[in-house]
Amino acid sequence: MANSNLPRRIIKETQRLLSEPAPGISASPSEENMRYFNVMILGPSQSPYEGGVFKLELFLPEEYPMAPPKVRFLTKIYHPNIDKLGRICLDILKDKWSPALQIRTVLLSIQALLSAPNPDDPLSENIAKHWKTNETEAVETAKEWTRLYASGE
Amino acid sequence: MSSSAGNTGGGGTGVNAPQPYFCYQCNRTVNITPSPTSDLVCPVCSGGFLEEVENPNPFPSPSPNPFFSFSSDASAFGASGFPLLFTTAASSGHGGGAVVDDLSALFGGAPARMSPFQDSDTFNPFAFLQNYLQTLRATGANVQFVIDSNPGDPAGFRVPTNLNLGDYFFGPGLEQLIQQLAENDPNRYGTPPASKSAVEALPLIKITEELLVSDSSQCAVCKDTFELGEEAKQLPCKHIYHSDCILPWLELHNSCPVCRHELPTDDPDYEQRSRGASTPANQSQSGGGFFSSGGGGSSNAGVSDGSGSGAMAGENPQTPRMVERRLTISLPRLFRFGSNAETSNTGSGNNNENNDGSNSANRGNQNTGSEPRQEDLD
Repeated sequence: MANSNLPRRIIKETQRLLSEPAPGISASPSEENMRYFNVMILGPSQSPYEGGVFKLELFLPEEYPMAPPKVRFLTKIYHPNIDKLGRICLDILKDKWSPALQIRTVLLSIQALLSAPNPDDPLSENIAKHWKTNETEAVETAKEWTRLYASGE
Repeated sequence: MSSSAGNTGGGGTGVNAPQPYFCYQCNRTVNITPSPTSDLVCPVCSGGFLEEVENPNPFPSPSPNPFFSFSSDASAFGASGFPLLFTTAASSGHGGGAVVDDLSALFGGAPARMSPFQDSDTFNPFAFLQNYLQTLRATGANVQFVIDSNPGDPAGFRVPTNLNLGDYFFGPGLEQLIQQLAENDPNRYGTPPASKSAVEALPLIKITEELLVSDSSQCAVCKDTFELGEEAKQLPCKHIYHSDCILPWLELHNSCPVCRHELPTDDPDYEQRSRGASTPANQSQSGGGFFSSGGGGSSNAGVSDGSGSGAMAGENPQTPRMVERRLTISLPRLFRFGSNAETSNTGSGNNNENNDGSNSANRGNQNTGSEPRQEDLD
């Protein structure tokens, strides 16, 4: 039922995600619900997340593309803009959403967020504080978490 | 649970003494003198759904009401359980905020321990609250009352006589709940809807061959390529979209999906903030001032009248507009959320591009049905 009436734009996006995946990103729809995507993002090189494979879930609400997709990290990650539930503080997922954006651009933005943590706009206060007071140590923790939780089973 | 069982149970001891019963119809405790000959009837509502009260806490198990959870099931909102009752600024210490841990501190000499059913027929909210809080504390909840003294109210804090604790949220997870509610309403985020007049005034252009080979050969919303001779809506920033693609968006937000150029809105507060912060006040005097970036200037002269140029006269440069968007939750919005989704869906299914004027007018009407924000401002 969820799959009937899938808007053409979603079908198009899905096809393109599968046929020309963005580098370091994979997204494939669930079989039961074509609006639910299993996502993997590779930790960008030169970032504390390098070498990690991060699982996310992405859901396209009924209003999509008039409303943003809902995205959440499933893999534990130490990042000032990602909380312990995996929720992501990213403007385009909230007030800066535009229907010209799409799954691909959202995931690329999340990948970029891994390269450029922004402790001034934190979601996890503690991690942000850590980042601001002792960045070297915070980065070490992030690397450690990447090894512990994101080493790809 | 049945009234007769309770009746026979208590029958031997005090046949003529009034006993407390909880009436599920009135949702209160009443005192009834049970009679062996007739059925138990609530003296208030004459209903028969009564239960003999053995436990002095008349409140049924909290589980039926999802908002009324004070047990440790923080997992429902998925997070760290921190106990709280009302989170209002217990620590910020602004004004005359007071944290009161015991109700008797509020009510002076009221007795600390008093059964709500002790001797009167009437429900005693104070005793009930006190009792209820004790029950809560006994189960390990950390309950605090935070009362902001209101300078405009000389009488200070008053307990409403018809207080129903079921109306309040207890326990961990309040902040998570608020966030969850906020996140589930996509319309809460971002800029306000474009003004209807501005949307109606958007020109409809024919797709030319020239356009098809340009950067804007594709509608950025549906990602389909335009077809030759097709009509499309052009925003003042020159970006073009199918009517069915852009109109539902402009009903929600006033920005161009590609470049975020903002159309005027019907929200005077927003207009005041954004214009005040970015443009000189006297710009509102020029007829088509909003479309300063070009577009059909003269034909759009009427555009500004809907958005209240009077409101914009007062410029307010000290308020940056994004900061102003506050988290306010009103439950009815959640219910609208569903109907909004429906209208925008049916909207995008409509195919009356040829009849553009009435099309947007229709959308406007549909909209007032489901989007009270505009209703208020009309």
